[in-house]
Amino acid sequence: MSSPTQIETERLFLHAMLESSPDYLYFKDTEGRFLRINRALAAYFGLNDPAEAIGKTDFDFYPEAKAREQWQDELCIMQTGRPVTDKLERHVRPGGVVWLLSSKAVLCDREGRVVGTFGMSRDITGEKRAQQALQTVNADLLRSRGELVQALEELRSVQLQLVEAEKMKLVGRLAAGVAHEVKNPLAIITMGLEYLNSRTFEDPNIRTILSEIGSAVERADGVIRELLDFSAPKKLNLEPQEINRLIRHALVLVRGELGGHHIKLVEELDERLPPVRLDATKIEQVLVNLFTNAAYAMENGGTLTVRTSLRQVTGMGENINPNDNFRLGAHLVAVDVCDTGPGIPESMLGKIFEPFFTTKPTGQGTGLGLTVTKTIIDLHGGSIEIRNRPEGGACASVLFKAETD
Amino acid sequence: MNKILIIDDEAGFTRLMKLTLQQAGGYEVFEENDATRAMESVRRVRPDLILLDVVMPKMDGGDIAACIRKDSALAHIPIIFLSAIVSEKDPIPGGLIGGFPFLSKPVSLDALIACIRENLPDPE
Repeated sequence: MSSPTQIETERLFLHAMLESSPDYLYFKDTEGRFLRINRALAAYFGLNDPAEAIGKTDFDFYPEAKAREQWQDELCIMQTGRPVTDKLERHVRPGGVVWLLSSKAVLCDREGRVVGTFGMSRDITGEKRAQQALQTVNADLLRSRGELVQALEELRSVQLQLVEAEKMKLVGRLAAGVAHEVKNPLAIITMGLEYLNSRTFEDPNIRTILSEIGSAVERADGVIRELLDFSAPKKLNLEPQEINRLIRHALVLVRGELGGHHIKLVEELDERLPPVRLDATKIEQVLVNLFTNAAYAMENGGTLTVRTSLRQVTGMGENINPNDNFRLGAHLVAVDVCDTGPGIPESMLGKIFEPFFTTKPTGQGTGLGLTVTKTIIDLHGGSIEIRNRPEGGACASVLFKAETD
Repeated sequence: MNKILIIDDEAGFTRLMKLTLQQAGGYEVFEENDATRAMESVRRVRPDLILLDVVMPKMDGGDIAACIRKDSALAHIPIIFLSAIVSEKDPIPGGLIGGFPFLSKPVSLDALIACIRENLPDPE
């Protein structure tokens, strides 16, 4: 038995809790009628005095659907004796949406008989709004981070291009200087040869020697011209072109080379391709280069397949790598040049576009052909990739943006 | 016999060019290796055609060509630029430079003689 003093103390505690708590507290009978509510809940209901709520139900304060939902909870609690804890409730009030975190339990008398329910709700609208704001900020931050990463990638790419451009400028100056200094002695040798060729010699070997010197001068001059071609600033004369027409013209130029190597030519040209803005002369140079390289790879004969097709950028997949400058959805005109040669050793695949890299014997290639090819394609905003085919041989794939985009 | 004046600072080149052109084309060939004395040589030799280098110390071929064109007594002389010049503004070999024909060094004798014949004034 509690003493009157203890009972008084308990009452004091309960009173303090009810009257001073910022949370909403209530007691209800088995019919859902309020027996008691605290000041905070009275204020929430818009009442001046908590006593005004006594005998009323949730149906007097909430929309019917919400009141029904609360009543269902209370019925369940009274039937099962199990409390509802930390239920998040969304209330639409005249001032806007309010979020409550509610716990409810069964109310029993001294004999353990169910006499109603009681509950407590905490207004967490502020926290909820802060959480939503945080989520928005987080999403913004994620988006900003994505944009930053993209900007950084673009900056890196521009930086690389600038470094490359500066390097090319230096190489260009060097090449021009060297070329001028080498061309003059070559001119003297050529004139000397021309003079000697007009004379007669008793020794027949002299003619052979002069011819060898002439070939060597031609080779040296060829290297210089290729070096200048590689380093000179390129100006493009862009016009809408039918790529198939340029391919057929370039194939005519290398017909002798293909025939000499007993190479079978297979043309798989898509005739419905849209035009591409190209410098015809420079792209023919590119095509001749690719065809000649393929022919060189098939010295003992083989098949050269030249294929054109229209593709669309749907993501990073086959033949479209992250370094390409094509936007998603862009239409691309693709040219594939495939040979049936031995392919390119894996260790060399990463170097094939580097200046002065060649697999040909000394004197047969400057190692600038593919570098010039890539430079020209890059200038057109296109891309080139050379890979080994699983069935054998190598395949060069060139992509250009179609005129339609 | 047509007179050809070669103005080029490469003495070895002009010497061999002289020998070759005399031998092959039957021309009377004169050399000038000092660009600053080029005008003096042109006035003295009065050539039927001038082979002119572009890049030379002290004075370039362009300046010399301009001086020749300003002199009414010499303006009619055909000029062929013959140079190892390589620059951004490079003309296409076999094309024109400032309106004059241009040949790039090294040049074959056949191409050189063809260009000379094309530019020499018709014999009166």
